[in-house]
Amino acid sequence: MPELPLNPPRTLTEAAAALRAGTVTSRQLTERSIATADRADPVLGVYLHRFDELALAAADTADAELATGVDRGPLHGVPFAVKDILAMADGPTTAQSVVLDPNWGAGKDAPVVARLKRAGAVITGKTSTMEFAIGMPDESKEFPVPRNPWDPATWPGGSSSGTGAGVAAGLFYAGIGTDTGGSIRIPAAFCGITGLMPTFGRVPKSGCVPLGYSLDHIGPMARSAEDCAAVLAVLAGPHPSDPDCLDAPFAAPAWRDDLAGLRVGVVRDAHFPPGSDPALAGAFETTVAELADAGASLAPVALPYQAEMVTANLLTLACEALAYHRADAQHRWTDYYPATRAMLARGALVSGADYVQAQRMRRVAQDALGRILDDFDVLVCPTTSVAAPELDGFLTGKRDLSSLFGYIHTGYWDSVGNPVIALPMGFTEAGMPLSVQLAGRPFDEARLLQIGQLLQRRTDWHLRRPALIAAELAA
Amino acid sequence: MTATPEPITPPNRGTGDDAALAPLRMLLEAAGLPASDAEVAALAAQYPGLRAATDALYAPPAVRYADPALRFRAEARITDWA
Repeated sequence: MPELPLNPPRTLTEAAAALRAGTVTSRQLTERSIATADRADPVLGVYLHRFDELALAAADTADAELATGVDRGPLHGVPFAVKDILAMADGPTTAQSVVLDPNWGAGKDAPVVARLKRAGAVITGKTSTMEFAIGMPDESKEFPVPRNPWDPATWPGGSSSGTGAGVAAGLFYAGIGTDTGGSIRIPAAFCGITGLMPTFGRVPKSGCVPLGYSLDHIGPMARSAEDCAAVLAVLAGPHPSDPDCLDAPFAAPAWRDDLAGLRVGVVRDAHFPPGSDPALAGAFETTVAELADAGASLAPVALPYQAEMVTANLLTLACEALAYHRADAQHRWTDYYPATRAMLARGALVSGADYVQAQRMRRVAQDALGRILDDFDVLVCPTTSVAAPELDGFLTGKRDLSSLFGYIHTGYWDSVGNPVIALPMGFTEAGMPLSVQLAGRPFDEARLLQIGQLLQRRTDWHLRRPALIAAELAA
Repeated sequence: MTATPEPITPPNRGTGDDAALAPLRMLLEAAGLPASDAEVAALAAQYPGLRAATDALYAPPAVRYADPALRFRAEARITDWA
């Protein structure tokens, strides 16, 4: 394992500071990332493509630039990864599927990838997912099965599985995920890291293989809220290729020392169903108490149209995905994984009127939620009611996604499009991470990041390492 | 030039085909999706819940006269992303 100085950087923010203090070089960080991947990735299945040589060259460029005073910002010289449903000129995009045309996006960078490169991020590779961000873990085809570094017998969550597992395992400091029904926040929750789903329209989604055109969000996954702020500042901003993306400037916010004046709505309804992890309620109430101790005022609140928005999420996703995939599905049905086929088929079972009705219901829920957020600055609720489930059930076909319905509380927020940050909030008795969500008003990511950063100054859940990786780092 | 492959022919329906599965088969075939018997049976098991949840989207009084969250702009053009 390449040598790093004592107390190596734990977060992107610390790495950026260390690079500027001259206590570490980008080449050292990148060599360390590559060596960690050599040892851990055969177990964890984080990468679909690695760019070791390109990353080392980018690291050397970053070191040379920083030495001469060229500073591209906090991502400059920091190892970073991109989910393999985003186009990147340096290698193929597969979307973890044998179906995707190998020429799709060839030789081109998605707008967000181009922005990362301009910011000097050292892109170490493209990370695993579930097929087209739809499917479930499956070992029947040529792709690796992503595994959770906290316990490789469990699922890291999806669909941004490799990015979540890779950040938690220290293969890179941050990465890009996408979220249509929870695909940033579920792996962030199961892997004990921080994930931010920005407001719909904050980050351009062109150059990303679509799942649900009106639901897809691209956002950061990293160890801390401060890291996510630095990444979002690079990703955000309009692009002429994405008509949904608005000209809404974002800058990393000033950090707060307290939460005085903050009004927090606490959502408990339907988030603690029978079968929830026994540690969930305690971890959640401790986090809520931490918010109060920091000066926030709290009141219980119920999410409006909760069941309807979960339905709207699944229905919209299935219909929009089927529209994209229908031609391939007609001719190459069995080339898709079974879980992908099941989701696409659902899109054929509802009518055009049903689809429009889901969009009418989304508008009503957005309005009702907006009225609640007139009275509250943020809402807080668990991300999931359970920790990472065992992989075996999925791999043997004894269990499917529907077994997790009711325990995952992310799809609501994709339907309404508000920003949400998922933060680690403790562990189960078995030592698996638990997570809390903070949701805010559209384009108010700064407030979520401020609260997340303050919580993470008062706790250290986000800095904990899986035992497997801690031992690796100590070696 | 690569010829477009013929659509996959749906598999043999077998003897378990019954009235409950027929509407689902028709919808899947209309979409050209060659789902297997097992897949149709699995969808049939889920369909009542899917239908009920979908029908529930029509129920709230507030949605009766709501506009959908769709987008359409008369001046829109397609711009390449790279």
